[in-house]
Amino acid sequence: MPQEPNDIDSGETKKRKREYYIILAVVALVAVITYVESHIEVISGDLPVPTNLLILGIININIILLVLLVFLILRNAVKLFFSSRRNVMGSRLKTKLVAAFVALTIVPTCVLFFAAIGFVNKSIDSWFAIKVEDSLKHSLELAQNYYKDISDRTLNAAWHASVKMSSGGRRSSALSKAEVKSITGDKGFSTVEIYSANGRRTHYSIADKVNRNMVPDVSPPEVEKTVKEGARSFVQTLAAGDVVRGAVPVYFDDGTVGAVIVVSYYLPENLVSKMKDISAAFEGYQQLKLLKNPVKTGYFTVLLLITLVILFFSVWIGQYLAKEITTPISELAEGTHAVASGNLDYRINMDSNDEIGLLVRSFNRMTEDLKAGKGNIENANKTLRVTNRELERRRKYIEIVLGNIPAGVMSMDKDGVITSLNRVAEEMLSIGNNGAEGRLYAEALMPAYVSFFADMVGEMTKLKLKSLERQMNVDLKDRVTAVLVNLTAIRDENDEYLGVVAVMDDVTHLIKTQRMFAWKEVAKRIAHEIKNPLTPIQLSAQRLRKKYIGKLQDDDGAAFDECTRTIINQVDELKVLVNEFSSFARMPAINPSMNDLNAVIAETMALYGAGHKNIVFESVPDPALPLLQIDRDQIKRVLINLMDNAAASVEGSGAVKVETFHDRELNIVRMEISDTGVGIAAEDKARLFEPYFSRKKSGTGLGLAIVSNIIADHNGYIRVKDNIPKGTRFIIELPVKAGMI
Amino acid sequence: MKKVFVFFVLYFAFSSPLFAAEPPRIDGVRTTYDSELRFSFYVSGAFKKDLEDAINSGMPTSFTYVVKLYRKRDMWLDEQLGSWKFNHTVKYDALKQEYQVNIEEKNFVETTKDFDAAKAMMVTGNDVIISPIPALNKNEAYELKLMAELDVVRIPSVFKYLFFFVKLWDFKTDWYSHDFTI
Repeated sequence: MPQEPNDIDSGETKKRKREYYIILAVVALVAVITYVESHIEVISGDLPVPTNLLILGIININIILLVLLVFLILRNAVKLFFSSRRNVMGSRLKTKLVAAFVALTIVPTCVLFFAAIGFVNKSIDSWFAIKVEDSLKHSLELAQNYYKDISDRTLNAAWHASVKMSSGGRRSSALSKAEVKSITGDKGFSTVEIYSANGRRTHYSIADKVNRNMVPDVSPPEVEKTVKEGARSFVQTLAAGDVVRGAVPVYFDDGTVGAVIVVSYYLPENLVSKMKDISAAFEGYQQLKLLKNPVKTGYFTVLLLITLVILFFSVWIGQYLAKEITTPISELAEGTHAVASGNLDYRINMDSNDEIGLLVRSFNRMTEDLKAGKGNIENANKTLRVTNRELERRRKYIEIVLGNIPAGVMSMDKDGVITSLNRVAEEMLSIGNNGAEGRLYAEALMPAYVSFFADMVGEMTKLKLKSLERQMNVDLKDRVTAVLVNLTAIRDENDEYLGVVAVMDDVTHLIKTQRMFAWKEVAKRIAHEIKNPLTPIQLSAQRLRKKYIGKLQDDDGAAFDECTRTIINQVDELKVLVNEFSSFARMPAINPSMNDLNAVIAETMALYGAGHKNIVFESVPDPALPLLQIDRDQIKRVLINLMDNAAASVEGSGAVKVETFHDRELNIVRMEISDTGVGIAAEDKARLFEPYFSRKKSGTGLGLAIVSNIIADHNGYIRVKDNIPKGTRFIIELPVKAGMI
Repeated sequence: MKKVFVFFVLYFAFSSPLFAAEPPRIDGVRTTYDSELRFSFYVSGAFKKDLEDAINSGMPTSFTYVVKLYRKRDMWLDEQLGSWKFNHTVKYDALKQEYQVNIEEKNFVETTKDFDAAKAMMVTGNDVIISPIPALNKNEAYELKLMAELDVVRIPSVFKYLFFFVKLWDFKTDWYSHDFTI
């Protein structure tokens, strides 16, 4: 995610705070370590101050490094552990890398550590080889024996002199030169000194090879000590060498110490120095032997420290490298996941010039490109959605238009599959609830219609017509409707044939109107053409009858009378006929006003009953019937016409019923006149409302035509259907104008 | 299993050198005052086997004695009258097979071939004179505090860096307090 500036600031602040804490912790650590070390007396031991400081510094650094390393490693290890537990992205790879680094480091370091320990152990052990110790010991013993031998010799010589001096009851504290010479002979003694019991020297002789600087006089305390403790030998260490002295008291017969004889032997400095070297070497060896185990421990400790530092450092390096490798990879993985989840604003912040940096830059560029592409797609999609909405709106509009137009519309593709069909077309083609869209027209339509459309398509193809009109009769449940089918081929802009569209118009009313108009015209002409000569014919016949009825006799008179009467009567009948035609042709325009249909029906019903004893006239009015905008007289005429026909159709006894009903949903009033008469044949129903169509011998065939005309003038609709179980049922539907309820 | 573990822990804990022998301590302190203050003492348990081996190998070894004299005061901190320090050092001469013991407070070097005598000289102080001190008053309470410490054994210089953290056979006694009145 691209970090906001505030996020960066807060992250940086946190980082800095953490660094301050680390620095404070390190300073505190250094202070504590220094305090502790200053209280370890051994550290300030015998080493010089700069060395102490240097070692202290190194130790401090080592300790701090170790503590830091241990802290970092433990912290990272704990973090790694919890990251692995939580399946944090990149933790597995990191764990593997760290494990690989640690394994790669631990194995050689441990091998080196144990090899070094082995070498150190072996080397230190070799220092204390038995041969070395023995030879040193023997050398020392040789030197010690030499000293002992000299001591013994000086002591023996002193004893010898002491015996001489005390033998034979002598109480002298001196010896003659001859006696001294006999004692010392040529045994190499340096000096012979005799002291009286009170410490005064009574004899002193010195060899030629030495002088008094080399062998000084015996100190009085030594003499006193010999008097007190008896014979003894001791070594006096001087700058020029060692002097080994043997001091023996001379006891007189009464057991008192009369004198002290001291015989000295001078050991030159070069000899003493060599023996001291031997002694120092043996002492050094012994001390070394004493320190064998501490030395080993020291070396092992140092090695262990170095090994630990290497291990911790390598582990830390491993973790650092793993972090360096896994962090960008995990960020990339996270970024890929984010991008895959749709977050194209994700950017990885990383400054690196290596391959990882290139990868990160490529990722960021790719994400930017994706974002730009997505933006374009979204814009295109938005435009497409707008277009689709518009198209959908238009489609719905067309669908509404098609659904609301009175014509039926059906389209088919070039394979004959019905692609669209409006409600009117469904009604016209008697298609049930299964629907026809998506089906072959040959399967969806009735066979008569299939052949009709197939013929039209065939004819269009044959004649290469773009469109073709044909009329067909559609047999609905209770009526036959004339439908004008206009079939038009659909072609695209490349003149590619796509299918056909059929527009079906119900032209029944039109045809009926045309016929009515034609009949009216015919009636008008007949009335005009026939009515004019009828009056002169009738007048002429009446004149002839008046003038010649009396003049003609017998058979002629009778024939004349009959003929003229016939002419006059027929002319009257013709006049009636012509008048009816005339009145049909000159049907007055309706004069509608608000009327109660039920009242009109009641008035009309009152006219019947008395004249038709065998027929039951029944009225079933809807009490909630609204007032209608109707011409009262014309509707009355309609009712009279229909009830006359109904009563005429009843043979013997029967019933005629008039019902009204208000259909609120369609906002119409329905009036039904039913009878239990003979009924109307199906083939007559289509022409029933045509003028001059009648099955009655005396009928002019204009009654139902006039009824139909009146109802049409009221914007109503009349249809006929069979009455169940027998008879005929005329159904008249009149619209209820708004506000009339 | 738990019992075995506890047994081993206790065994190793109490069989360690810390519990093997009594720690060195100062004993037998007595003081006399006759225009000058003298005191005597001895240290018991100062020599362990390792230390004896070190001395016999020729390592010079010193015991440092620290003496502090206080005038006791009621309801207030005691007044320190002085502090003194002196050493007893022993060095074995393998060539002559004798021990040279330097008694610093008496400015005296004693040589003996007897190791026990050398050890006794190292841990014993006889009529050690403390001076200079202000005149001590009669019927006033004083306190003499004494502490002995084994100095670092002088190890070969080549190992000094190696034994930076190692202190060999050193010890330090507790402060021994001796109250007295003239």
